[in-house]
Amino acid sequence: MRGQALRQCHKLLAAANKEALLPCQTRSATSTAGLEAIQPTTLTGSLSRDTHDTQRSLSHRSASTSAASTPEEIAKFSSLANEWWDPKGPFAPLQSMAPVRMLFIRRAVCQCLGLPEHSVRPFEGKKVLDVGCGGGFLSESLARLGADVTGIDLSKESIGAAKAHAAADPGLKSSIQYRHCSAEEVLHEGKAFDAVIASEVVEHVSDPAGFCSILSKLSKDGAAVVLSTLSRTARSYAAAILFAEMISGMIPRGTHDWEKFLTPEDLVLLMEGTQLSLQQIAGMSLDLQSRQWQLSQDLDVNYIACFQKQAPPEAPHSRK
Amino acid sequence: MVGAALAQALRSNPWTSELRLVLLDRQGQPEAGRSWQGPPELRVSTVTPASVALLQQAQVWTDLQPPRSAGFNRMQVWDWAGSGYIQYSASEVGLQHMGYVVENSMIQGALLKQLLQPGNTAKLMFKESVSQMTLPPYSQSGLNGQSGNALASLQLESGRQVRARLVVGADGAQSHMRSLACLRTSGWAYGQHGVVATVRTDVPHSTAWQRFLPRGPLALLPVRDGLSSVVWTTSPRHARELTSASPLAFALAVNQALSGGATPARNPLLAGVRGPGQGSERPFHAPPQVVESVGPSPRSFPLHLRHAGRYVRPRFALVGDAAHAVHPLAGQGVNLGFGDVGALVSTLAHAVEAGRDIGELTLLEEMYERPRQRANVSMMAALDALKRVFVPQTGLLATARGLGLDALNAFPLAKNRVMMYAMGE
Ligand SMILES: Cc1cc2nc3c(=O)[nH]c(=O)nc-3n(C[C@H](O)[C@H](O)[C@H](O)COP(=O)(O)OP(=O)(O)OC[C@H]3O[C@@H](n4cnc5c(N)ncnc54)[C@H](O)[C@@H]3O)c2cc1C
Repeated sequence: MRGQALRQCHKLLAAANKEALLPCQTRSATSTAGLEAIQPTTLTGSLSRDTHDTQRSLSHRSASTSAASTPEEIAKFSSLANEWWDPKGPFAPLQSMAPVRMLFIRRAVCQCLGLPEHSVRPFEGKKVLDVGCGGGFLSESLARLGADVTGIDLSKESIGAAKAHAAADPGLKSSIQYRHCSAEEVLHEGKAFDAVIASEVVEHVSDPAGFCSILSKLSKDGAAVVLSTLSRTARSYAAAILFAEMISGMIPRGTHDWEKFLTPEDLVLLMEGTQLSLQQIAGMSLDLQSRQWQLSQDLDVNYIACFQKQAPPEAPHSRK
Repeated sequence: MVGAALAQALRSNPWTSELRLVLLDRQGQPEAGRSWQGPPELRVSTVTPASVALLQQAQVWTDLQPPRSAGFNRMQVWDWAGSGYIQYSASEVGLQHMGYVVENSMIQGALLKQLLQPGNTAKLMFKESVSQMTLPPYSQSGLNGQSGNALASLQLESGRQVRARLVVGADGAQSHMRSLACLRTSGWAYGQHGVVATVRTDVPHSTAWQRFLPRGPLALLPVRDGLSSVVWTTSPRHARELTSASPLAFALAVNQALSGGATPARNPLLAGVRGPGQGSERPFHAPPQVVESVGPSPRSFPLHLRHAGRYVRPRFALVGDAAHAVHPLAGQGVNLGFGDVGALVSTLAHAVEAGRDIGELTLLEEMYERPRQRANVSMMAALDALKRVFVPQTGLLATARGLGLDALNAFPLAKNRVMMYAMGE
């Protein structure tokens, strides 16, 4: 049963990857290690806890419908909220990754929604939800691409920082609405969006499957759902935790809990109970020479994926 | 010139064409698309193929190409002591021209003509300048009160106020914007002046001649209508003499400088060395004779090397001579400025595509300042070294210098590398 699900998952990843990375003409020097290289060994080989974790992820915990981050997680971010936009501060790595994420989001969302990719403001008139918006790195960029943005975060302090930052730019003020609330709350208001973005959130929530199902329900039919996160591999363990958190102090210590990281396979499996199907996926790698992040085919550490909300089964299964 | 080029290049790039631009200059409005009858302007630029590409992208090259300017397909450099010479030709690198000599006012006029086209939303303000500027602080941390990404706010002389996401200082070597932004420069005066003049030669030519004289280099460049432009670096006193000389006396002085001294012979030390290819096999060409100076009388300018330690701040960037004023040798002044323009336009195009703030410090540092400082500093160092090499020397050093030129001439590979450099590749 589980083996079958995994096989299907690999097929999906490979198919999505073909579509996604071949026409990708970003400035990436794509590595040859493509998704074809993701063998089942990646799932079990990195660390022995993998199997256990995948099971954990798969068990749609019904007891708690709350997919919210734990209070400790929220507190971690709140304590640093003042520093969100400091280019030399603790969120600098996140900030430096935002542009390459935006290039992926621009392309993937345009393709999902059939929008003109080469337009300066392709998201004009589209409603976009930024779940876990933090200080607003992505919300501001989404607004500059024309979107009508709702940015939500469970940290009140982060929302305060995001509001203050956007308020200084008259071009942003009217197009972003920041709210201190959870995704569930937005769902209960009956809202639906053309695109839902959850960047670096799924690894912080207590119930990833429940969280994904909420993302699915928050999107209109045909809408795009973009998630970015850190993979659970030996390399990400070394890279994200040892290197970034402890050695270089790049990311505030305690920001990440490696056991909560999801491999791309985990993510696809999580979406099984939702109407979301994978469209494209890319890795993000730091080019050491230019010190710029680039999209790549290396999904071992940072990756970003775009899913599309399929219409209910009775409607034709179409992709715009 | 560089500021207008930036504006027009931004208009022509599909990503940046919708940015709202305001241009201001303290001078009155120059003539747009100026006619090219009459004697050429004194101030000219040697435009490299790389700069031509930028001017093409900015859709102004058709208004600047010959016969409105003059192309040159050969360059000959030699010195007073006669110990060697070096020759470059465009055909060595498979090009028709190594560069073009264009009047500065022609470039300005062509850019202005495009900027004034109906439908162009760039707002132009002449006889206007900035009296005060408030930029956001370097650090963006802190929630309280005014946020770090407030727009730049400018108070103009006329009393008007402008707010902007990005302010660009393109106001030349004596940049006022640079001091308003508190960006410091380092550098020195060369203790030399540049004398510029337009002259008529006995025969028209298409070579950039450059001779290193005891007091500094003299360049004779073809300009339109078969005339030539002289750019002569010399002592302030000699510059004064030259600018007050009669047209005939000026011509005599140029001829003496170009044809006096020793005729370069092949360096005896190199007799046994034979480089592959043509090398020094090419004969030395005698430069044409100058008949008289024409048009406006020669003018002189003091020369400085000046470089800003930083080109950017949050919501602020310097381009052109405001960031780096160099010795006019090898004609790189405006080309470095056009290089800045190319880099800044692609930086802003990336910002628009990725939804970034165009005035963000990290963006400007990583994509504009870092690569441009690297390029400009190495070019400035090369120009300065070249200039120092040719400061008057005698005996052994002079021979070594001649050997350098001659050896370079004999080895096409090394020589081409130097040429590609001079051509802004
Ligand atoms: C003698 C001499 C010979 C040269 N020969 C060559 C050559 O052969 N080839 C070459 O490539 N380069 C040459 N150069 C260098 C070249 O002229 C400069 O690199 C070029 O002009 C720089 O362009 P820019 O737009 O940065 O500055 P500028 O051309 O100096 O333009 C600055 C503009 O800013 C305006 N401005 C200044 N202050 C203010 C203010 N406070 N408020 C508002 N507006 C202001 C001015 O009116 C002007 O329009 C030479 C320079 C000299 C001195």
